[in-house]
Amino acid sequence: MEEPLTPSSELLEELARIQRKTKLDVRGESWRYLAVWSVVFLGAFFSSFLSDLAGWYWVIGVPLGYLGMYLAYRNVNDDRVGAKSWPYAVTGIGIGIVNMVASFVLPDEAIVVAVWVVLGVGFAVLSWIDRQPLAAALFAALSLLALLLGLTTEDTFQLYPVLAMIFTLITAATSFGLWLWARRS
Amino acid sequence: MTHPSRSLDEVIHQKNRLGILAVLAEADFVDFGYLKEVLDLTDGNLSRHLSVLEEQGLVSIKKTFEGRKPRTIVDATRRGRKALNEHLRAMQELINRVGVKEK
Repeated sequence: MEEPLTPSSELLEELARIQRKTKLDVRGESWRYLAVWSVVFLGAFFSSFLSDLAGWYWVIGVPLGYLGMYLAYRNVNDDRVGAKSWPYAVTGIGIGIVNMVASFVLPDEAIVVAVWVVLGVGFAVLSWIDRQPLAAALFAALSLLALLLGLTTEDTFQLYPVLAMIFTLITAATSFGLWLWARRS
Repeated sequence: MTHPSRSLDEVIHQKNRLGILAVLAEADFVDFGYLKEVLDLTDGNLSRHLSVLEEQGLVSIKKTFEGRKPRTIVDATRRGRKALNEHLRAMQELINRVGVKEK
């Protein structure tokens, strides 16, 4: 026998509650990858003062970032509910490939800006996949800012640490915002 | 103009089936046990509702094994996600109309 119908407004409230819980179970730990990458970006900021190592930093920083993510997500997710992991992996690999190709084809003064433009777009895509439209808009705006600054600044090498710090702060702040959302929901 | 109540899908409108689709809308895959826990349903009850939704092509059900343990994974089909959105829109419109008349 079917159960009696629930009034529509109550039903919508109940559905919203169920969806909040599921969203939290699926995406409540999204702050972790942003926290890891904000540390990687901070490393890029400090490496920029060591001119010989700045370019090589990413060779170490990116694998460390992936290792950090692996450690940060180990045993934290409820494996009974989730999102497909391949779109995140494809985007992550895409960011790496585009930046690697850019480092071979672009001159040094363009690479120092292009790396941040690509990271901004990549993180916007990751946030979009993660159904965090505000974070996606923030990273897209950050990417655009990096592009505009790159096009209007003569000495782009001086821009590199500035962009590294902006990305560190914005990524850390977004991570904190998501952490707060997860704790308060 | 069609009255929003005509857009309500009778299969989806049942509270538990609506709950199942609402959970699936937020995730790419959901385990049978998770659905049971969140919606506070018995095994039999949940199976029955899932069968109805599967027959209508609104969800897909995969049975797998994790070691020796059987596992049932449920996912909303594209049709299921679309149907849920349309249904919720119709419900909201209906509530708004009734709200206006009460004034």
